[in-house]
Amino acid sequence: MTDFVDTLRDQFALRFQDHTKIVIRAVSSNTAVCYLPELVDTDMLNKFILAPLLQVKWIPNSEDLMRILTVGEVKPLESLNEAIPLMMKGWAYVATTDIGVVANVANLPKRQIGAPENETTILGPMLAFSESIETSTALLRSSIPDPSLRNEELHFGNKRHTLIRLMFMSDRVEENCVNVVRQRIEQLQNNDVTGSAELLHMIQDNDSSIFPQMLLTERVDLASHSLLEGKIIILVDGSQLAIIGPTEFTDFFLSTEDRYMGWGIGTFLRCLRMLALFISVYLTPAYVAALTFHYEIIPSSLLVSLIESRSKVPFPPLFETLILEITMELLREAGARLPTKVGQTMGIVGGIVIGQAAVQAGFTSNILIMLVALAALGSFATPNYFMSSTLRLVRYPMVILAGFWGSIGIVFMSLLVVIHLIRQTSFGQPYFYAIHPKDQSNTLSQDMLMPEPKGLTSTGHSIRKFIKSFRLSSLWAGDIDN
Amino acid sequence: MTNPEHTPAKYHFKAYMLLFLIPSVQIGVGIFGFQRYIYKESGHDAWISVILAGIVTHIVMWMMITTMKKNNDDDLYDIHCTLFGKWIGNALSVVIMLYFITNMTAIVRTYIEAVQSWIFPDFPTWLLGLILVVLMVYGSLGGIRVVLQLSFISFIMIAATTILFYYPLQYADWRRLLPVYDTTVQHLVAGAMKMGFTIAGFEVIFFLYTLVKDKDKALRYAQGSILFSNLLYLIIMVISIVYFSENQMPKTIWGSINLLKIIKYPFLERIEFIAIPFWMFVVLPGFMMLAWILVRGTTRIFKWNQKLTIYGIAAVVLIASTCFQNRRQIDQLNDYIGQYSVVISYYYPCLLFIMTYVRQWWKDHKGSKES
Amino acid sequence: MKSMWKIAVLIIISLCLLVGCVGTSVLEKLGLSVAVGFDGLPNNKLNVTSVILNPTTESAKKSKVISTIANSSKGARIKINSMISHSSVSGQIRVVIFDDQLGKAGVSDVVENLTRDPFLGDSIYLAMSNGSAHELLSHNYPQIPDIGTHLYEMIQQHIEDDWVPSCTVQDYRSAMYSIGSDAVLPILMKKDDSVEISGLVLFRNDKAVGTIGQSEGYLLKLLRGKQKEYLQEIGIDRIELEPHLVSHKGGKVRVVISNIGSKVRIRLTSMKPLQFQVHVHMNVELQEITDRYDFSKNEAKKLLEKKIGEELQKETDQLIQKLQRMNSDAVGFGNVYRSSVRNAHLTRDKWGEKYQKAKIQTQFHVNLIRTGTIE
Repeated sequence: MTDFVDTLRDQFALRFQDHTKIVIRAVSSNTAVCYLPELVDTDMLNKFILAPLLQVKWIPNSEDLMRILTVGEVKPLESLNEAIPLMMKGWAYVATTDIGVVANVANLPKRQIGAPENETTILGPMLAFSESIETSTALLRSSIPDPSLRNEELHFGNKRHTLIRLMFMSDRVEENCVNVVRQRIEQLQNNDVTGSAELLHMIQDNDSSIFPQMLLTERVDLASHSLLEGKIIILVDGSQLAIIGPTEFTDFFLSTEDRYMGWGIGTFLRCLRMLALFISVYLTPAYVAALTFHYEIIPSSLLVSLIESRSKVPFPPLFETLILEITMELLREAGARLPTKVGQTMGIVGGIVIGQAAVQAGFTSNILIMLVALAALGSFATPNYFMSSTLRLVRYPMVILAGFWGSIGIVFMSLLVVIHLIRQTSFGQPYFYAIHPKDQSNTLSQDMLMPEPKGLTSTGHSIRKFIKSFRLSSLWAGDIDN
Repeated sequence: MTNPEHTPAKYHFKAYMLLFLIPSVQIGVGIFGFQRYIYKESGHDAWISVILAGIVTHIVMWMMITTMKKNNDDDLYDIHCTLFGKWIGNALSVVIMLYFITNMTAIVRTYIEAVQSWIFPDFPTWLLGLILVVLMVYGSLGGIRVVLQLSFISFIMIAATTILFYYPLQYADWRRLLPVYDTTVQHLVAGAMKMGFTIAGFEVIFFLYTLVKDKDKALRYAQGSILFSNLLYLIIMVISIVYFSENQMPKTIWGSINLLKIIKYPFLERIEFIAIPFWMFVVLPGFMMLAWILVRGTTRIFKWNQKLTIYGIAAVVLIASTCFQNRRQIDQLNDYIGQYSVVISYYYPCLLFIMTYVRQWWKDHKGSKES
Repeated sequence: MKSMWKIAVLIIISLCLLVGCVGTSVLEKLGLSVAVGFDGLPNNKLNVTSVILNPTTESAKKSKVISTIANSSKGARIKINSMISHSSVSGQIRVVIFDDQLGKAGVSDVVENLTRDPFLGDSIYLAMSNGSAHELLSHNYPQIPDIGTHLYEMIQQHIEDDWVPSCTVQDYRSAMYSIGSDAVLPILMKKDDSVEISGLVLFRNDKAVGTIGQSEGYLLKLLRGKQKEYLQEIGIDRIELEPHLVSHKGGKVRVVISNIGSKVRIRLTSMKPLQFQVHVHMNVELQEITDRYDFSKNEAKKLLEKKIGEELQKETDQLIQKLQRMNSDAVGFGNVYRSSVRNAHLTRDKWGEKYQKAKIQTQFHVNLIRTGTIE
């Protein structure tokens, strides 16, 4: 009896070079159960593995053994090597002299299903993905109980055996997209990945673009909406963020909340966010351009106060703006790194104290302080964190070019950005539409919020169709059908 | 003679996109100051000239599309080969390409002239040329998709700018339109000829039509696009007539910009300082489209590398546009192009139209003789 | 290797772009002139006065005035530039003032050169000063921090809801280049420590030929069809209104009306002799009447309407005769003539002759829509 256990122990010691504590429980002279105690559910182990094993005398083959073990997931194994990765995930290894079976009795440390912390909304379900891929999958499955929701498993990585799941609605998704994603993930076999954020950067279309090409979300409702729109969700085991793709530029400015608000308020909010986008990108460059080159456009009522506030500032508008913008970024960054409570205080103190002192010292003009704050506010109104960071980054070249070439610089930069956006793709799908071609929107069907208005004449219908054919319709939080 | 290898179906677009694509070529820098040329010919009846030119354009557009339908939906480069044989046909294509590249130079140089004379008198010509050319190269490398999407943005820009023109109407004297038809037919036609140069550019349909997915609707949308630009020019013409007095108009070089000059909002004054730079959004798609057509031609005829050709075009346009030193030379260039563009956009399609029918008649004739 | 090449190209391009810097005009480094005054001097010289915005938080005065004598307006700018610490720019000029000397000699040269410069707007107001423009601008007004902006706001307010017709550069040029109409500009007058608009100056071509007062200005703006709500006082002889008057005092009855909406139609009724018919339809509201008047009867209202119309007509006829005497077609009868006659081939001189001989009849149709909140 001890011989058998000793040989097993030797074999394990060989494979686990360190002194990982493995429990080897001998049931009979030729049967033993091996497991890592911190990963298994001892209750389950006692009831469903040890108890039945102790009652039988002789186990002829693995089928019988599997029948005895009253655990859901059991697998026969060829060799001990195969058992080790599974044991590392909390499976128990039942070994006899000639056969081996693994049974899933894992009790991995996991969180309760929590509320989304970073993407908060006022309305809407308080469900967030969790680090456990099983929980996340379960959440998605339960929100779309439909057989067409397909679930493809891909293993990934050299050492880490990371589990990745592609989820999509097989009847709505663009088949090319799935192939593209599958290929990209398979090509990365030898890389190591710790989470979905890292994976995202490895599978995106254009590495050199600063614009995010996929959405990263912790919200289950956003993910399930995206599924219904024909998008692909990528879940990574151990990461509470799901990747959504392919995306379009406008997706980054939509919040799931818009749908809950009804089409009126929802549309208003989306328009507001678009306005915020323009404010955050154009406000400070416009200030620099107007003060450096185009004094003619300033109306007389503003002129005197502008000159008064600028008269003491020793820097040209370009540097003044850059200094203040960078101060703003520093405040934001410092606030983000500090513990929440201290961070808030610092934000307020820093903002008010530095702002007030800077104006009084004649360092900047108070009008610029207001504009920079407004621009920052505009960038924070973007629901997606990646996109709002990108927008802030776009502002710098814009400000610099405005300082060099005035309005020509602003237009040049805008065109550069627009052309860049048009040229981008996401999972091979075009990323930016000024106008949405009708025949491409059919796969990206979105759920309807507002019923088709009744009593519309045929002209009314065609006008409605015409309006919706523009991509402006993504601002429209109401129905977007085909 | 269809050429299936030319463009993959991915790049084909729906017919209604023509609504944005064609005006983006027609409306560009010409709109800054087209009024006085027509006004000089037909006086305060210039708007009739605009309508006349518009009607003719509609007819020519119909002819162009019919010609292409008769020629298996080919583009102009192929039609040349079909009608004139390989050598003469390709030579004609090269002439058309030369015309386009001159046109591109004129666009760049006129835009630079507008910026320099209104906003930045000391902005270096080469730098502004470089800005436009860099954007053109970056956009053209993205293919027709970039042109398409940008042209929609430019369409919105144009529509938005048109709204601005309500402001000058406060200073309008509507009696200036009267009496209607106070001139001779000759003058009206002369004005319409001048207008022809301004709305030229719709000949790009010769190259776009092959890429249209639903060709049965193409004619409708192409006519719609012509209607849009005609209406736009008509509106601006009428506003200019009622805004400027009879001797003031011929003195005004940049009529449309002068119209913007009067606009004043409590938060913003002197809209032209914003409108002219932002007009780059309108100029660029047309500019890029011409480059795209050129590259299609060179790949077809000379089998040149597309990327290198775009760089080459950019360099040529940049160097050529810096060669023009003053207003007089730019006017000369524009007059020159004006004459050629009327020939290429109006006379030449008629010729092709007739030739296509003659050729068909010849074929049928021969066929019936043989049988 | 390829990406290296790309990066190199990018660096070269961006260096190129940054090297091509454009001359800046940073706001606070500029001497922004807000108003410019031109005084005609003998030998075609100009005395140019420029009001330059100079706001400092310390002093109440927001502007300073600099003047110089030069041959041209740009020549003056060159000289002014050498007198101030900032470089003088013209992009914020809002008011341009001539003195009457220059007005009589012709102002088109100055105005044309204003338009030639793209940095000057078309919405600049032109005005004539009664006396020297230099004096008007350089006087130290204790109440006004910045005379340039003050004049701008004053003229703007008077145009928008008062009796002054629009007097922008565009209005002036449009009239100057039109055969059938002449320009009208306001007259600014310094009165002790303030400035007022004392009347309108009438032009013939580009030369000032005469002035009219405020109430005539009102009628002129009315005839030009641009008059909005503004009060006008009318005196009507007591005898005319006698039947409905309640009280019995002496002198004229003064009626103050405000014009709610008016429509002016000018028609060419006959070519030989040249005859115009002016119909003015007015909706008015009674603001004030110096006597007690019995409004309860319908005839009383009718009578008052008729009398107001007659009074206005009388004044208008006088105004038009005055205009004809001065040969200034400020109303724009020439445009009416041109737009109603085919192949008119009008020239300025031909029209000038015709205009002076033309017979112009006016007729007012007054509609008293309400008498205020009481009867």
